[in-house]
Amino acid sequence: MRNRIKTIGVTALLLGFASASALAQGTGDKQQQQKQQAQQQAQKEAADAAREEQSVERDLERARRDLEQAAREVARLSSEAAQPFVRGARNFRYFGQRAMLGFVTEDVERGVRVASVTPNGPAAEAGLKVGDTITEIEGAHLADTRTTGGGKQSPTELLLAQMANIDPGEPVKLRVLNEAGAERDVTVKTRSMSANVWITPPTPPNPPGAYNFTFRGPGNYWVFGSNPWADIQLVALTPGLGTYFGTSKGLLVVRAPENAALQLKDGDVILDIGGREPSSPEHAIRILGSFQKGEPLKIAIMRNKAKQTLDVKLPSDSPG
Amino acid sequence: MHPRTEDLLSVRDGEPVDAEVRAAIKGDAAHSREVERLGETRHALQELPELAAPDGIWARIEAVERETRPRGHSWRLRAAGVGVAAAVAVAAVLLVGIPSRPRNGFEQPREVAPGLQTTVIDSTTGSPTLFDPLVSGQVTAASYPALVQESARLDRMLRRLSYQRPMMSGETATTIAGLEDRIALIDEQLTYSNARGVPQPERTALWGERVELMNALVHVRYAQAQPTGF
Repeated sequence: MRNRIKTIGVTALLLGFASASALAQGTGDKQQQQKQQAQQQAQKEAADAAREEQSVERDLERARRDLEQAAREVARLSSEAAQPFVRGARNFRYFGQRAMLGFVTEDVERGVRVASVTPNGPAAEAGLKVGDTITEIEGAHLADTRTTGGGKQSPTELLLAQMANIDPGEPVKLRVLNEAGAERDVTVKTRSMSANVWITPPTPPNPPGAYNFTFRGPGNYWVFGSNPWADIQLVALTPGLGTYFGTSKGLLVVRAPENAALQLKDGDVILDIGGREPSSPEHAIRILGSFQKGEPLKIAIMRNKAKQTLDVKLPSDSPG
Repeated sequence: MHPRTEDLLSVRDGEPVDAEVRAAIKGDAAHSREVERLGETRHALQELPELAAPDGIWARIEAVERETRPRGHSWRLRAAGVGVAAAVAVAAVLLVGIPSRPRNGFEQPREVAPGLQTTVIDSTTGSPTLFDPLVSGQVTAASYPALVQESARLDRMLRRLSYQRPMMSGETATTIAGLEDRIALIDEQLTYSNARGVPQPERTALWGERVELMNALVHVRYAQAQPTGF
């Protein structure tokens, strides 16, 4: 009897262990299954999020392209609407002969007030702002003396007369009065107008001074035609970033153009183009736009921290 | 003597400052520039529109944030997308509204469809000015200063955006260079027009053109400054 009881007890104990083990196993399986499901769900959500991000990025890129297209259209229509004041056969290229400061003038009693500053122009780079008044240029006073001192020229005419003696690239010293009344000396490094701007003189019987200004954009490709530089990705190098490339300045080629004739590679740093140092991607494009189709061009670069020069022949569909 | 930021702010705001401190600031170009910069910052902040948050906005933001949390950083792209889309929309409006200048500055003006007219908000009065450069009778004296003011406002906006130097494609750089060159040409024309006594309707048309181009440039720069990847 005692043995039977003992056997029943041991059996019950074993059964208890077995069922507890089975229960634990079942719970473990269920937890494992839930964990897997949660992982699958998380992976699915991550994949969905990645797809959505890609989709938004594509939309963003498309929106940017549309915006740029619209902006170019604005400029193209603007240049079409701005037909010559004067039409004549005696056109001549004025660029390269006349220096620009890069602001719009407004005559005031003390001189020439800056009514607007040309974006990325010489005056903008020198820190001139709307509201500043130029009281002197190269020591010559610009005050309006037409009513009080018998002067014959307006402040803007006086300024332009002085600028006629300046060659593009020459620095010009200005005395500037800001809106708060503080005066300072500012040196502006002048520049020639874009290579694609033509200015022609007045032709009889049109009124004197009716100069003709026409514009083609920075290179033929800017509105029409294929642009071999369109797919290049550039960023201006900072001194910190430059330590990785062996130079403190230049334009880093983040993505090289597909056109192999241009010879650039990812990671190159453009130091100068045809002897001119580009300060920004748009400046680089402006320089490149001044070269003609098929024209040889030297591009100085840093590649693997070593300086070298690429002899590039611009393809026929390049600017110019 | 080394003036404190409080001194510079006081000079900027026209508040009383110790004469010695004032003289030190006035005599130091760096301090004067800093005062000027602080003034500009204040001016820029003053230009921001006054907005009041609608009732219950934080609860709604929290709900939206909770919904979108598992989706990573896509909201940033969405925000950038919304920004660019808004810029595209404005550019499209610009495109429709671009003023046409007379083919010859001395031709008689011709009629244009109302859709080609541009409205410029006068920043001093806040009132809209209808700008139609082709119909000289409609170019009021008020539109000229309004355009000049709008141009100055866009100059300031562009200067703030230009501090950023983002990565740029050749195509975008071409667009920006084109707009900048076109604006440079308009600026030269405006200065020459000023010196040669060109009639105001012609100069108003040039200012209108400048405003359109500056608007386009600001929008391209703004879109360029938006992030694309994280």
